[in-house]
Amino acid sequence: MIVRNLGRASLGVLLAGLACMRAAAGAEPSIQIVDAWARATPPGVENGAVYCKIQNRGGADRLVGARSSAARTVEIHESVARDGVVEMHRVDALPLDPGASVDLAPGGTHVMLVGLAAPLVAGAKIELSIVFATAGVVTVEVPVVDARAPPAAHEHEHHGQ
Amino acid sequence: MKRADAVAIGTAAALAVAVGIGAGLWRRAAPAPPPEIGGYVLPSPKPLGALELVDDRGAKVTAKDFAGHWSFVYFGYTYCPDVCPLTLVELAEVKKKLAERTPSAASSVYFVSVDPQRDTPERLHEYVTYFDPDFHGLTGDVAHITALANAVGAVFFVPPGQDEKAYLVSHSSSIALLEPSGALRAVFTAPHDAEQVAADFAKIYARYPGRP
Repeated sequence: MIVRNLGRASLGVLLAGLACMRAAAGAEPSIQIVDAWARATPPGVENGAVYCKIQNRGGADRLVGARSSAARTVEIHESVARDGVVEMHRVDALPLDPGASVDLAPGGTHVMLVGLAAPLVAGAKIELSIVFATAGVVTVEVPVVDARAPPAAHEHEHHGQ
Repeated sequence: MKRADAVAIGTAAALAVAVGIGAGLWRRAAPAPPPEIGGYVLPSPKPLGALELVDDRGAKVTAKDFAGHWSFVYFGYTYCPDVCPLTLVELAEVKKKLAERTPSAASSVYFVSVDPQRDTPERLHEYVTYFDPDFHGLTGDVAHITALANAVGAVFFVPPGQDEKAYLVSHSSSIALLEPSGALRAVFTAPHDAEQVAADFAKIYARYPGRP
């Protein structure tokens, strides 16, 4: 018991120490992009979508743009269903409250890749840079996922790599 | 058994018979409502009317081609990167579930382009068969696509003020269900969940087995 508690305590100290080192080195960005994935596209399709979670650990910020070598233009779009009709709107800026976690998920707000350089093939990876007013540019590597697979396989894709 | 109990049971039985007869009479007077689904079921099917479209293999399609099987009809376009793939993945899942739940009901899935200017049959073919090799794509004259949309209560339009080439199209999110007579029988409203659509279809199929 005592040994185990000691073990936990020392692990805590170690983690705290690591956190301090990271903060001191400025390695931890105030905004983190996690669980990013791009929907694999059918052949011949020119537009794609990327989904992710944006976690803001800093003060109030705004997502103001995005770019990727995988597409001619990258925009933030929102699919809105109203009175049984779905419309996509371009979102010019996405506000991020301090501590907020924003979910970019299918059927809602997403990163739209306009004019794909090549079809998005499952298993490939693309680079995506998201621009924030305060935090600056955050670049992530985005795995391309075949969304036709059942959800269980999806989870594996997300967390298994 | 005590005498009082026997009387009570007898009374209950008589009441049950009376209620049963009453319900039967009432049912004859007013038909039972259609099954409740995630959407709505038409008590009387609505025929499509005349139309002429082109499928993803370049073949002519008229209203008659929807007869003989159940049809799931969804409106969208291949430039749509979010909602359309999402719905087609669900429809592919629906198809799998129907094969298990209602194997005797023949059905087809149609993806009708709301963007005929860019969605050629070839492009549609690549697109729809990616989601399921048996899916059909339909395109053609805007007037005829509009006629089909009107017949099943769907709408689509290009919001103004967009780029001439890279435009977006707004469209209905619902899935129309045509019965084997070729007429509209039900509309599934979004958000679509394959399990719910399959369960709803099973209810509709049990109630209206459908004649070609």
